[in-house]
Amino acid sequence: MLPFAAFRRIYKISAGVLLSYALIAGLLTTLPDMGGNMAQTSRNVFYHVPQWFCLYLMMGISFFYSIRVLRFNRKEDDLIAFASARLGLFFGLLGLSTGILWSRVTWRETIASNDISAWWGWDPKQTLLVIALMIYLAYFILRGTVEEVSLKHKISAVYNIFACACLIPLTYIMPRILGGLHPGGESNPLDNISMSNDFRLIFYPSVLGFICLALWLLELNIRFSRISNK
Amino acid sequence: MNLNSFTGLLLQADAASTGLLFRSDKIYAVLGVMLIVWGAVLFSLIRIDLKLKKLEEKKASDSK
Repeated sequence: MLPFAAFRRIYKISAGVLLSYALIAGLLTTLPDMGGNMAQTSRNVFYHVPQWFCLYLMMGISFFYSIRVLRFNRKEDDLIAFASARLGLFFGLLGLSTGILWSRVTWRETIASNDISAWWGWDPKQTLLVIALMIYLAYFILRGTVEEVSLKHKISAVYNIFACACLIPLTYIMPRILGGLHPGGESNPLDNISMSNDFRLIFYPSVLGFICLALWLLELNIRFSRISNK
Repeated sequence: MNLNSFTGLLLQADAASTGLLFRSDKIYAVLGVMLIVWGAVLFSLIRIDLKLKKLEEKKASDSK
């Protein structure tokens, strides 16, 4: 039984409505003059940032169910932990891709496209995010190496808890210490500017829409895994 | 089309102008493409959901 079974229909409709709104309003809204390439590219905040919210949510769910695996040793909990970690990785890669495109036109607009540094500038947050995602990639490799089912569930649950414990320091705490161009870093020129209320009217529904979409995808993943495991 | 001209077209045509994806005068074209992509994703999700429901019902009736 899914913990969010009662809300299934609500989050499916919400995902469709809120993300359609975020797409239309996000691309058509008039933006304040922020100067340079930030002017039009700041629309990406409606899509890039919510993807990271989804990553944290999915990894949080995975962490919770990994603890349940160790506590109750149930196959169902492992299935949910695995499915949510897989989706978390998907949203992480999505966030990374949109981030690379955004940084290309705002931070490194003068560099030619065939130069690799135009796409990857070793910004602390970007780099540490890749490390965090690689830690999660190892989780999937680890699962494939253990054949005994009960042992596989326990080992992957322990590793998943470790991976989640690395996620917050790597993606939130360390980038603030190391600086960089992302908000929160010392070198960011926009750090003292808060989001306008017009932006919030699109940003928050977009976050909610992406979260609903993530929950819908998680539900489909779990249902598919259940059918194929029977 | 090489990498430079393709990405230049989408992201930044030259030092003075922003690429197609970020130009306000092309925003309706971008919105149209994005709506088609999002519509296709939504349609696929609904179809997968309904197919899974049918499979679950079939499995449930088989196990009885």
